[in-house]
Amino acid sequence: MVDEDDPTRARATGPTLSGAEAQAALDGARDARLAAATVERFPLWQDALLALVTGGAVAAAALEVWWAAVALAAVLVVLALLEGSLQRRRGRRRGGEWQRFAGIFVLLVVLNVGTWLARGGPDWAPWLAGVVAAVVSLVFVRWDRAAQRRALARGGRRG
Amino acid sequence: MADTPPGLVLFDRLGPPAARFDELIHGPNRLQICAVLDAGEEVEFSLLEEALGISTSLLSKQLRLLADAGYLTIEKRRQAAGRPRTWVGLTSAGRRAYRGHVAALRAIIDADPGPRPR
Repeated sequence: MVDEDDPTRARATGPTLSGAEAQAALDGARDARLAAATVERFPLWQDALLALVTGGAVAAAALEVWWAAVALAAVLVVLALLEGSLQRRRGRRRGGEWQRFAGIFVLLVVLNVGTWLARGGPDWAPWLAGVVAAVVSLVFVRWDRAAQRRALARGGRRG
Repeated sequence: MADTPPGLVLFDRLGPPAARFDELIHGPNRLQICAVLDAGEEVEFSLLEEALGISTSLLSKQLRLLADAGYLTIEKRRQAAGRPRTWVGLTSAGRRAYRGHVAALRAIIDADPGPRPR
């Protein structure tokens, strides 16, 4: 074993590994990380469907109808529960949840402010708010999944 | 990670660990297991199986060796529906040992004057 205070002694006191063998070992570790990062796949259609429902709910809420606002809140709660349930049932990795929750929180604030602004605008504003909400939520979810894959592939930690 | 006190989490993030070659971790499958686990908090058994492309029995054996050394936690948890699932995570000692081992491998590569494959 090597002296912990002197990393340069690893070569002298460790097993007689060549640089190429050590590199091959590190490459194997990197390949395993890459494989683990790509094993879990979340299809685009699933995220697009969630984004579509979110956009529709935001547009409905911006129409200034009380039941639409209630429907928006209900839909958002159902979506959050659905996503949580999917993660628990199908997810096979844990860690980094707090960043995801922070991101979802910011997203919800943006959607609510957008809805509020759309109420004071012209007739088409609610629909525009819905489209923007759908696009923003889809981009956020896909970016979050890609960021998780990249972090896993390079060996970084989220959480 | 449940077994990691806050002070050790901070210690983990203070800087690169000292290079320390670890014979146990150096086995190809065990090094790959640690590499996957170091990138996240906990991973389900089946994900490791798919990522490494090895049999259930071989993976179980390698995990048991690492767990016996205090490098891993292996926990079977019930679900609301379906079969219980097995979750695997690195302990703080395992994380330090893995990172120290990677640092030792890098020191070997740096010290070798021969041509590098990549």
